[in-house]
Amino acid sequence: MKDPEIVKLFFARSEQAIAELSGKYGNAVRRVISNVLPNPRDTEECTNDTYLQVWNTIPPQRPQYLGAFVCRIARNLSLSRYHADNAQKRRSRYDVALDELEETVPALSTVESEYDAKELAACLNEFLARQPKQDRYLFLRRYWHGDSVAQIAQVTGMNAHAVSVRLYRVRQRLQAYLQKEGMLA
Amino acid sequence: MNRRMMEKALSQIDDRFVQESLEKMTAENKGKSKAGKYEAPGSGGVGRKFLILVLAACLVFALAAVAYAANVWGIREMFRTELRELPEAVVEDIQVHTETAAAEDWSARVTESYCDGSKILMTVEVSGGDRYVLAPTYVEPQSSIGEIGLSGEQTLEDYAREQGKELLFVGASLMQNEGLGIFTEGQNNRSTSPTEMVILVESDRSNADPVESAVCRVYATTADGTSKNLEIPFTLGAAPIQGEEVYVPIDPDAIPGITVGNATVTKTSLGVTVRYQETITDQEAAYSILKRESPELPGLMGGFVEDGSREIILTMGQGEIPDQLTIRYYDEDKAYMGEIVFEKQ
Repeated sequence: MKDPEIVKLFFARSEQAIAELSGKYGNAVRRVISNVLPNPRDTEECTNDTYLQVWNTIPPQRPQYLGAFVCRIARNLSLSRYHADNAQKRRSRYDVALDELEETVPALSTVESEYDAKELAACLNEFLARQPKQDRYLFLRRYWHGDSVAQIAQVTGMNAHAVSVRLYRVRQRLQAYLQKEGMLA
Repeated sequence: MNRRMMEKALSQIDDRFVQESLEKMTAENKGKSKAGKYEAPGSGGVGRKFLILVLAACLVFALAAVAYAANVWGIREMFRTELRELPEAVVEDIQVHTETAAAEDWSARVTESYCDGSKILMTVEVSGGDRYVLAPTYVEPQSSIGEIGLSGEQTLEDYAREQGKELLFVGASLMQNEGLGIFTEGQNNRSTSPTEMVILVESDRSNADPVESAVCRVYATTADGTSKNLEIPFTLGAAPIQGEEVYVPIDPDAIPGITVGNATVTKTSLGVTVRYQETITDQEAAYSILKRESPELPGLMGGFVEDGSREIILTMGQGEIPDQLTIRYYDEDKAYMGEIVFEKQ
């Protein structure tokens, strides 16, 4: 079923909407969540929470990109839970991916705030828009979806070393770009 | 500091880039190790391990091999593909079926079912015979053959053409009737070969009335859009109720925006079901409720809206019927809103 038809089902308050959404994006949602929350029970609960939140937000919202919309909710919910559970010192794939990225931005020039995160997001979007499609895809898989280098290598047909090198070069370019934009101290 | 800020920034990456990655992931799918090699789709590792276990079991229990192989992809096995595990006791209440429906060039068979007052589970095997390569309804002819568990870069339509077959997109559902009272339904499919697929249909019921029969509808569409349906009537056997209690809320108005009614708690081999009604008194406040959970009964909570009220159902709660039942409420930020405490009537 096409995305607009699924959105229509949500607006009609048809429970079939959840089934269609789950059928189409369920795997991606579970992968995003499980990369942050490795415990299967957490993944399952967070997946259900994601669908419930989608149900509660459409309507009134009418997302243009349904897949991105549901995966973003999944990511935000799983990160919230992850931080709530952080006292348990869990190490997820997401953690390892963020370690890499943190090295790229060793000293952001501003203190943390919602406004500054928005500035950084705008820079990131600008940077990504200028990247070759394949590099943008590798970046998204590693740092947004939280996939491991081995997983990315498997699905893209590249070897793991090549993926690592390519990601390293993207991070280098990102660092240079952030410096140019005055985001790094 | 940098870490959280980067995390927040990543959360605001443009939807178009995320959608682009999702579409590429769908197309790429399951990798491309050895072209034509068949791999179980879904949770690959689990599936492979399971197949190895099945093969080992077949060697040990050679006499029972034929009967066991016929039920390899039953309800329990399909749950495992989603990393879910059914309680052991459910096995006793799963009905094994042989009901079949066939058209000239494809067929379907209901293989297993489970029914209680809150859930109906059913597996159906679909065969494309010599004519069709089967794919789930949510993919396109241009999708990767990874969607049906094959590795390689071919599209489904190219693969079907190469095999001298046509594509048939199939799904299954239970046909609604008043007795079943299905309010939500999901399905999970697994290709067991390019021409065979098993579909698990999981339906939640709005009423607990006993039902004795149901009809499975297997719906299919060819690549040119022609629809084909098969209907398979089959008998449902109700799982026995192991206990039932009515609970009364101590403070029905403890959560802003809703008033809560009595709860009915029922136990079957699948788990404990809790049902109660929330009457919406303030729509805006009620919208902020994101999640409900019971510390006594970890399970899946869902519900449906009906004339200004919500029917809330917790299914597959694992544990015994408690003396006191607590439902905790959380808002969109996962902040604790309060709780409803129920006591046995």
